[in-house]
Amino acid sequence: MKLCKTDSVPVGEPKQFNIGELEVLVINLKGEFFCLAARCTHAGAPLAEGKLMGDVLVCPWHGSNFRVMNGAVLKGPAEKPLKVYQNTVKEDYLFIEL
Amino acid sequence: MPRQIVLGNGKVAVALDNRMRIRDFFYPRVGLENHLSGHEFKIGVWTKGKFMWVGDNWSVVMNYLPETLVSRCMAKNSELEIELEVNDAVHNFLDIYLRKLVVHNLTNSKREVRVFFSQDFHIYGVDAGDTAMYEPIINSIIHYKRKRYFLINGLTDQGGGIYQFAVGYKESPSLEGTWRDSEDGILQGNPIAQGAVDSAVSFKLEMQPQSTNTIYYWIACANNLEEAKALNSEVKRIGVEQLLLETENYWSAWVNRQDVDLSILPREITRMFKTSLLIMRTHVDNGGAIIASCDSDALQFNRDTYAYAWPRDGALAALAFDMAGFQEVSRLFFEYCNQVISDRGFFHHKYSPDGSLGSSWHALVDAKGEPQLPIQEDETALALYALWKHYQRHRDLEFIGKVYPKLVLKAADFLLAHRDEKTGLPKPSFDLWEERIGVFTSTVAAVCAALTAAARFAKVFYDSKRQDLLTEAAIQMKEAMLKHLYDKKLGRFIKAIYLDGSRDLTLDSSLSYIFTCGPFEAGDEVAATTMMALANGLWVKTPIGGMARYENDEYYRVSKETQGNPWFICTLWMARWYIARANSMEELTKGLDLLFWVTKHSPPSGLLGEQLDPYTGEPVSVSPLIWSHAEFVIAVYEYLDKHRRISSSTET
Repeated sequence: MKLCKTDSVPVGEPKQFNIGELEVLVINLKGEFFCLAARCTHAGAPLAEGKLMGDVLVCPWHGSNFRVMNGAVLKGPAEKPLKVYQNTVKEDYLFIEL
Repeated sequence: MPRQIVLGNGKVAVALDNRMRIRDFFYPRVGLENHLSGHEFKIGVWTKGKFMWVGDNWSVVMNYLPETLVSRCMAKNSELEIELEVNDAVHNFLDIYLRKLVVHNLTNSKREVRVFFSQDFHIYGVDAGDTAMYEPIINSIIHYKRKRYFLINGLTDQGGGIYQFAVGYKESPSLEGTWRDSEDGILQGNPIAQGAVDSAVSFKLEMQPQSTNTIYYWIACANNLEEAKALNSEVKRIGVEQLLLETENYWSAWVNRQDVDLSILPREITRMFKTSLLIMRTHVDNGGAIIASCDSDALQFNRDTYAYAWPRDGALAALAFDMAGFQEVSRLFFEYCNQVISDRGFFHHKYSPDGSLGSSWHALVDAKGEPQLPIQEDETALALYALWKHYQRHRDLEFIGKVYPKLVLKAADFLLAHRDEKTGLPKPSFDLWEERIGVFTSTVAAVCAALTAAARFAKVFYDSKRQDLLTEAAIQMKEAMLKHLYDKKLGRFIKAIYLDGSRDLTLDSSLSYIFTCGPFEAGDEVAATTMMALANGLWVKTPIGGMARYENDEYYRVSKETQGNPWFICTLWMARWYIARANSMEELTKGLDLLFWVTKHSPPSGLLGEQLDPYTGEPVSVSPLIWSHAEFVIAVYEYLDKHRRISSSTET
């Protein structure tokens, strides 16, 4: 499913896109795109407002740390990992698999 | 002092200033019964014999957790070597103010730290007849008067509750209040006082070097003692941590269910759009009143506040809520309007949140002693216009049916009756700035829009006779606008015609109503030349910039070197004009630049006030002002709409 244009997600700036009720966070790490669930698994914080420190995403509410590549929890209070969506880039557009 | 954080749940509303002091505490309605009456609740810290209130000697940063109504504030004092990390909230449905305070001991030594909270209630806004007492069974302090009870309690992560307390007399030469008693680090434990009273409580922490500990503090609000105690038990059972999580999550879910695609927006604009909606919601009473501002500092100058429901401000906020998809909030407002509108079909100047008439400075007679109608007619017109926009978007005919007989028909009849037969213009009323009486271009534009709206409602309700009458009146009024209020020599609309026939040529940002309300298109020559004249004449020529309200505006004027102070709403009207006339992405950037101007001049927490100092950019007059936030939401929505149209026309 087409999600967004690749140039709408600058390097290092997480951005949220919605498909219906599904909220997807897109992160551009030096040209490589990662698509994750856009809400923290702890209390539902909007991760698009979080800080990106290298390949670690920090939740803006309570500071949980997630690995961008696989959604794994590196630091709580979150306990569950973020869902990761597979994606592909075709002709400047990012597509995700649901 | 402008507010930095506002919190609320439609019944309890709390505002904090830039020293993390609670400055406004409303209950049980948003805007009605400010139990502080301009006073403050403070936080103090004592350690190793030194005491300091969080304030001037502290480095304070105040913000919200993103996309929610929970604060995230930091306060650091290098002398005490203490840092406080504070989250404040009003629970989303329980009437409880919650505060979580993480204390950082920045030293390498073990030490005792005591944290103090002062409570200076003026219940019902009056300093007499209050009681403050210690309740030993639940170890809490209770302030009460008649049907208002406030129960203060707390816990530490070391298992302690309130460590010491004091209640006492205040505001007399020898008795300043118990907050003064805090400053030696010890509270005397006086268990009860009545009259003009306040209280203070402290919490004790035994802190390890370079460690953190947490204090949870809350104020339960109720109409009687049993309810207050029950709420206190509920907080203890659920825990403040969980209640804060619930509140975070609720407001995040609330603001993110807006049905507007924001993905093309720059991050700052998206953030301000959502913050605006949240701040606006804190000012909506569950009974439907939308107050202009909870900031009560104006009390010190005018002995009155902005905590009233102006139908104009409310209508524009409702319009913004509707655009963003929060029709249930705007519906509350229209129900409130239907309740308060006069039998003659107009709105008075302003109202209290309970629907009673608000204070006013509009006289019932003019300078010559002749009777005059003390209203601002654009308020009635804008409510009707906003209601049509609401219906156009949501098609909730059954709801409209309930308010149609009064809010639509009576208002429309009034607007028709309140016309000058000779000119076809509305009869005089006060202007939107609430300063002068006359026939104002802005008011006429709003009335035109309302007559058109009422005609469209008449069509929906199959009343073709009324539809024709209203349509004809709107057409005639638009023609009369051009004939009497457009000056061909100046090439623009004038501000007003006064009772003596004199014409006011002042450049006034409110002329923007000619296209925002729709009698003219933004691209129509008469609108374009008027807006260009405003852009050239009212842009504040200082490094701060922004649009002044009108030429030589004296309201809170900082300098005679500028036309007036920059106002957010006026700058946003200009943004809306640039957006409305844009035909390409390049042209659209002019509007976006002004949206960025707004975000640039807002504090970190995102609260938009009324106006700014033209040299320092500091807020002037009240902050927040809900009208400013509403105009921001409207401007962003219009930007998104235009962006979409230009994109699709480019693609095809």
